Amino acid sequence: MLRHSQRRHLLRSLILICAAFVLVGCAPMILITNNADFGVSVVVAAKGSQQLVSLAPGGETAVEVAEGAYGVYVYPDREWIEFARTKRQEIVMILEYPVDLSPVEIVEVLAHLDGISERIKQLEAQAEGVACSGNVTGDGGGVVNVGSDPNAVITVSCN
Amino acid sequence: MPLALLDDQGHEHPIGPVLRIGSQGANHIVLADPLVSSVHATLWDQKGTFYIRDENTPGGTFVNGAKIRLTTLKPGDRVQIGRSLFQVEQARPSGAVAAPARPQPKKGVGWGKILAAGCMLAMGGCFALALGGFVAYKAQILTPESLMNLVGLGPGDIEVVNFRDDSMAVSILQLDVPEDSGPMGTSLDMNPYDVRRWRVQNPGRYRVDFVTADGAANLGGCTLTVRSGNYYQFVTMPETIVIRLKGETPETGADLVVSSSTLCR
Repeated sequence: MLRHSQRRHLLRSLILICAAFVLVGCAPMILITNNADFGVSVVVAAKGSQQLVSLAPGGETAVEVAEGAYGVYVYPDREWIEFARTKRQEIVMILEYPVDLSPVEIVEVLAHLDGISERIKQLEAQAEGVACSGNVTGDGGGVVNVGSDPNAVITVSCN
Repeated sequence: MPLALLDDQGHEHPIGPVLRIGSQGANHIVLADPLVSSVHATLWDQKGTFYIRDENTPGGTFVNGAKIRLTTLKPGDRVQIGRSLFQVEQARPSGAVAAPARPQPKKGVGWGKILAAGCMLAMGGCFALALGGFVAYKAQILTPESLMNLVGLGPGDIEVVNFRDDSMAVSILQLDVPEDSGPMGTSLDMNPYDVRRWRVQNPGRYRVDFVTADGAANLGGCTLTVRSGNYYQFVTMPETIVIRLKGETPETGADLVVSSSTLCR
């Protein structure tokens, strides 16, 4: 007869083995290329998470996402960069002497840090028309091409 | 006279120098509601005038049914955030909170009735639990991932925000690797102002190092223990690197900086 701790260990091991089949493995990548002649910020949203990459003209990068559906939202990068610089300044001002922070100031810093993800969510919600979506599996990643038309309007495609 | 928010459970939340409401654990009032933003509204007392400010949320903050950005509050006002409704009242003096009414013992109740009532209560509880679990599963509140988190085997997350003006590289490597598996880890090349997230499939100890894009200078590093469901956020600044564990409020400001944080041990 197994003792309680042994049973618990066995159960954990079984769940771990099952989980390994489900969870372990290479997460798919999405390759993003900016063919526009200006810098862009690209929000990649997949399975409840948002990542944001900024690409110079001609730049490309790869973003790791969870398997399943993903959405891509594109902006001229100046909008995000202005926000980031302002947010950085706000955080730096409070954190000048971190040891001396009061509880209220600590909460202020946390609110600023939360504001980063909130802003990305807002950008995601605003990007109607300059967005595309796709699906990735463990066997294959995605390719996203950002471009611009002659009027400097952003175009994007997901494959 | 100080004011307070009274929630629908009858709990009183005094509006002091600052009272934050949101879905994240760092707030004074935490509302687990998808309609509520992480930091949704801030209330404060400014020399006897009580203000409420909506933090630019998509869901909005409502006072007496009207959507507000910034307004004052008075006794009798009704504040709605997400699905939660609060009543503004004059704060009770500390210690004057009404004690819950104690039920009067009834005489002449037999053991049989008590046993029957207990059985009914247990059956009702089981039924409610099963129904609640089914509804939560259907509403995708209870997911396979949240079940994994419950048994301590779910993944964690590491988010890195590059708020420097230069590119950098981040390496994340698992320490204490089990003998029968290879190390888990990743390397992220980040442009200025990028926000990247890496899902930690195997909870455990990880080493996170930040270096300049050419690898010439080490910007800092942290050895942290990632547990199931943990979400770590790093924000690299020109002079420092900020760290926080989402949902936790650090005790001191030193815990917010990688070089002195107790999270990096």
